[in-house]
Amino acid sequence: MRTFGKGCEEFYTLSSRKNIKFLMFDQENELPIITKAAADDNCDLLIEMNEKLSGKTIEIPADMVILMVGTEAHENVKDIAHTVGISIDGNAFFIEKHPKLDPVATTTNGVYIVGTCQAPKDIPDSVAQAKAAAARILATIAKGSVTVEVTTAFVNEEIFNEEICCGCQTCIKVCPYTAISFDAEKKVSVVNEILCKGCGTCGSGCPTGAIKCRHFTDTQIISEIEGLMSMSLLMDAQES
Amino acid sequence: MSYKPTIVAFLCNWCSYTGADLAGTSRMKYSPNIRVIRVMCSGRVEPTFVLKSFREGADAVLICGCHPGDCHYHEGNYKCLRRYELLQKYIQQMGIEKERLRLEWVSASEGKIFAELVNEMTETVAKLGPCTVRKVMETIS
Ligand code: FES
Repeated sequence: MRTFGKGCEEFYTLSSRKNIKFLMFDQENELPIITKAAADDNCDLLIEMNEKLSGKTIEIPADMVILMVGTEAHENVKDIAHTVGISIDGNAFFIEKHPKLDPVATTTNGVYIVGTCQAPKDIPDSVAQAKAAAARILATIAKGSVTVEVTTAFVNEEIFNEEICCGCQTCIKVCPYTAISFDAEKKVSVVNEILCKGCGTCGSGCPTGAIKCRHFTDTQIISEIEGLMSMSLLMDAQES
Repeated sequence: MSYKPTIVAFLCNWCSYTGADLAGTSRMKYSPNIRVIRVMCSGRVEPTFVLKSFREGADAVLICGCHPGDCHYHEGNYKCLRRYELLQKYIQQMGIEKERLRLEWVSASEGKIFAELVNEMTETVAKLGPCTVRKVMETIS
């Protein structure tokens, strides 16, 4: 039997010396059964279990049994996740941006997760994570400026291009961030690139193709489709 | 040689692409017929992209986004859903079976669901056979 985390092995040895026994049971096969002891058993409860290491069924007399329940996420996590725009996993714990490269940040800029809201964990781990998050926040503040998304949208302004804004204002209606406004003088839409988060919904709605989404332009995605499909056709041809 | 369909998939960056990534990092096996294109949000998927995929010879198109209410950009997936419903009507009039276009919600933790989805879709499309749009278009022009 091994324990989890740094220094926990010492705890384990210490408690073993104090005559605390740790037994394992097979989770998949049989859970221990607790029954009320008979009058002549000299105890209150009897625990019957299949001990994993010896493979034997043993009976343990006990006066008290304490069941430890697992950690569950708070019932409000869904609301919080919706409000700040971060994701939760199958057990309703918050998900970090990347398990290895960005373990305290979330998919929303400026929102960090720390402690058991992310997964069950102990105090040293939570503190370490809190320090990491604090360092990330300080780094942002110390820089003095915030880098905005690179994938923002912009309105094509070359008048000699046929993909020019016709002033239909469809983009203004679909933008979830109210980042687009209408320039009444020029009769075109204007994107506020600080508010824009780069979802690209305006780009799909635009009837003339005047709104372009950086790094995800129509031309780029269409070339991607063409490339992928010609590759598939080539592979098919080679096979037959 | 058995017929292998080609499926073009548009995955949203925040949920479905991460979900597909999870399927990969957890070493799940799924059919290799899928060609993934990453978009920031399912709301970015223009009907043109879907039609273009069919035109270029795709046998099916799959769009995956975050579950309703979970879109990173709040409501992009609802906009995608509306476009999808219209697009379904449209492709059926062009003679493309409705099974060839699918919109599914896959969250970042649903790698297994993604893998199963791809397998199941490949099977369905393989039964339908190749999509004829590309051939027809080539004959016309
Ligand atoms: S970000 Fe995933 S659907 Fe909008």
